[in-house]
Amino acid sequence: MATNSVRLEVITPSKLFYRGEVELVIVTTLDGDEGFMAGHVWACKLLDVGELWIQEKGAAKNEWRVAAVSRGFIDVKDSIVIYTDAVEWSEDIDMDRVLSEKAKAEDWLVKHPDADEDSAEMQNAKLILAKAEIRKNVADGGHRH
Amino acid sequence: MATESIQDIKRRIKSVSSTERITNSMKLVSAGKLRKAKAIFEKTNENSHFITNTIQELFNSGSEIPQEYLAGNREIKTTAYIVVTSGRGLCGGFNSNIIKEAQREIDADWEPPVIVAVGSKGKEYFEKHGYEIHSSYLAPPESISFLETKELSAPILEMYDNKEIDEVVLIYTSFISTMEQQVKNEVILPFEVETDPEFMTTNKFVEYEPSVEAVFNYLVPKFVETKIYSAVVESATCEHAARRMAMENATDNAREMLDDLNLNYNRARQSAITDEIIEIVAGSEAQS
Repeated sequence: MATNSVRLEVITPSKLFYRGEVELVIVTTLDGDEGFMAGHVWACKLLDVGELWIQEKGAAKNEWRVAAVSRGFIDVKDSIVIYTDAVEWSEDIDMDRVLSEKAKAEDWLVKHPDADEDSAEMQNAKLILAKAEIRKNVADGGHRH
Repeated sequence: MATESIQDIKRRIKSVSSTERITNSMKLVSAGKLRKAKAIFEKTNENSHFITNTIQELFNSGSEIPQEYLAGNREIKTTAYIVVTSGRGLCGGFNSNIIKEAQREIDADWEPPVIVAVGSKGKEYFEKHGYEIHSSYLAPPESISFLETKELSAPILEMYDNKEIDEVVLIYTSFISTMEQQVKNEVILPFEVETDPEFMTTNKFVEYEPSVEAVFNYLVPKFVETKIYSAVVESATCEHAARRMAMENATDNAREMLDDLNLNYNRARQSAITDEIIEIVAGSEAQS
């Protein structure tokens, strides 16, 4: 069965993270998980902190490459481009670093229980926690496993 | 007399050759750093083009775009200058070219400028000349991370939103080749919209989520961050290229000097020997 594939590029400010032909890519948009295949209507969507699932061309149905993404956007045209500030393959995640960052953020939250919900520090701490959670999940193989 | 000058020349040869050794090794180090910086720069350049293109497509896609980032929307009074210099010297005219250009731009303004200095050379200059530095980044530019540029760009965007500044100009060195670099000043905010006729023809429906405005509001700071980041990376590449050139010239000059000095040294040595022979001959003639 010949399935259509689409060209995917994942870029960050300093490097090209991934380039290849894929059959399906699943990302976490602000409204929830969404999958894109070849021939999708043109779109430009913002991404939340979340998981990136890629099924490469010719891969088996349950064969995925998983990465952790921290915000960005996906640009779907004749090819798909994902732009993000930071992205890591599940196998490259440094769990020690994740845990120490998480501990720091939690520590901050404990010390500042009455911090303003909307303050930059509060947002930042929450973002770090969300990132840590996602990375932990991705390092364990992602929530689809 | 002659022996003293031989001593002098010897001393000078020694000092020049040690300088030559230093400049030569600095040249090699810069060449290595240049190669590394160039690799990053090429990638960053590609990505910053991508962001710029996406923004342009957005402009051409619809009318729901917030107007405050567009050119001609408000009068330009206060300008923020982001001056990207290096943290270290010994790189020829690299820093002075940037500073000259920045000074020229600032002199053309009526209102006092807001200066953001990247690299200590620019900061030192503007501090000495009595300008107020709004913020600065002083670590070596080649190791700047994207997160650190965010810290630079966030206050700038905030000031722009609060209408404390009306224009953001980036002054940096643009990389043309390893032999040639050029000072560039670029207005990054507000945007100059180019309604590209080519874009208009691809009038395909594009889904924006959550909304055009949200995507736009995400992209604008991204655009500024990417621009600053890529300027800093590009400038670091130029710095290494400039230093490599400067050091190559210095090494060449030192070698030329060494050649001259060696010639003088040999001449002096030869004339000292000749003097001695004359003395011996004269002595033996006097005895016989």
